[in-house]
Amino acid sequence: MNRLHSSLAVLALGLAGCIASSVLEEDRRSVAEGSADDRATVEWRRAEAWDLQGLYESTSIEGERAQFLWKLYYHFESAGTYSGAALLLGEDGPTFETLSGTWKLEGPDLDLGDGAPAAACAATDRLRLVTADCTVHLRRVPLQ
Amino acid sequence: MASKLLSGIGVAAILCLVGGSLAALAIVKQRIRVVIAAEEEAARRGPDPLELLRADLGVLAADVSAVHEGLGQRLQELHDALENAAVERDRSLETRIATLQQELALLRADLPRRDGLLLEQVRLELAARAAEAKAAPQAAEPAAVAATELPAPQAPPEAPPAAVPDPAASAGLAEPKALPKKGFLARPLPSGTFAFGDRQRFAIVPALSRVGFDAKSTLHDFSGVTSKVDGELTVNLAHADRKPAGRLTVEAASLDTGLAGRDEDMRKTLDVGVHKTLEFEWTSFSVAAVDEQAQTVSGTASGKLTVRGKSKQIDMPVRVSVDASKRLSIEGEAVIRLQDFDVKPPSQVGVIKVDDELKLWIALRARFVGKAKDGE
Repeated sequence: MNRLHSSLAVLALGLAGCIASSVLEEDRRSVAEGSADDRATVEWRRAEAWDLQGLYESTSIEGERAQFLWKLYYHFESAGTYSGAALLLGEDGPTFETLSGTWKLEGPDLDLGDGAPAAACAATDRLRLVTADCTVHLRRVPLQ
Repeated sequence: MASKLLSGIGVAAILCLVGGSLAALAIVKQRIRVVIAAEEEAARRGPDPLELLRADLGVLAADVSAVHEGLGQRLQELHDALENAAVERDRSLETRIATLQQELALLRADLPRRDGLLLEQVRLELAARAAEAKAAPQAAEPAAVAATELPAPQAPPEAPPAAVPDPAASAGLAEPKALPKKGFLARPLPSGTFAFGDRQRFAIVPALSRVGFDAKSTLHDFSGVTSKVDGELTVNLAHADRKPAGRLTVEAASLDTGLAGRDEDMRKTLDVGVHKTLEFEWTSFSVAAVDEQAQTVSGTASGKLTVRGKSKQIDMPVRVSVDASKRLSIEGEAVIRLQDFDVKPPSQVGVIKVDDELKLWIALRARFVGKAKDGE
């Protein structure tokens, strides 16, 4: 029996030399910001009107505004109207708020009717809005 | 003599007067005719025009009086109406002026941010142009040149209607427009947001958090990781040693070591059917360093760790920082002994053994959820 254990121990030591450690490195413990899609290399281009159609859902919101803007949905109509919903942190906790209006693209800027445009970039089924205090990545969600 | 003469003259004058009077009477007598009409004659001639005239004048006077009275009422009513309209107009103007003042104040308040936004957009545009120029060798012009020759934006196939409110129009005397509701990306940040020196509550963001362990075995070392974490903490980062509180819950069955068989053994070892969670209750903090400028804190978090239903006090050195989105980033690790929690280190055939000691680590993100209330 002792010989069997010894043999197994030698075998285990041999295998240990062959099998690489699967310990997660310390600098890879934390989760990277944004979704995998957001981190992927994407060729962004200036958003055009046809990009702003359908339902979009935020995949990440970064920047100072993110502390109270937790989630964002926009539904854009090609006729130039939109409806949006946001999960906002208020004094009574997070609550959804809705908003409707008209949108307009002026060069790279998307104006959602409040006179404070956001720089808009697009990629396939994706949209990125950048303002002075936040960057929002949105993904087109198919309506079923 | 003289008296005789005067007497004679007087007599002659009297005679002359009498004679003249008689002559005059004779002449006037033929010109004056006095008639006293009988009543029948008067009836035949009809009503007295003077009476009729008087009556007409009376009616006219009454009419004039009635018109005067009516006119006075109407004039009073007109006066009252004009007075009311003037008051209404004053109120409307005051409301409109107040609205315009509000718009002006909002525009003034928004001006610095819009300037910043404009600069940011220009910067992004230049950066995008520079990247395009770099990507296309044939169009490898200096970014500055590209920026000055930006093509005019193409009109979308279905141009949406103009949506930007015209400030000039809203400032005019037209019907006052309702102020546009600020969008989710444009409204001012609320006042009660994150502050390093306030006692605040934070909630763990599972999607951005991980908890795990690094274990050693005779075969090879491995890690077990999960993002199924939940929890909250209350702390004043500037004085983290003042009554910090928090708890962290980990779904035990979700720990993943990368090998299904090993995961199954681990679940049996931890008895996840009974003890579904691993828990840590944070009770105190020993500060090593605080940098309010860089918004970082380091020190040792102490509390009660519960594994497989057995609790033990542990100390874990941690580093806390604040990211751009004002979320806490908490990283730390501590060495624990499985036997302290009545957990027998897994072993295969008595040869492949897992060390009793393993390194427990956390990489958490916690989102600000509000100021701590009194007593929290």
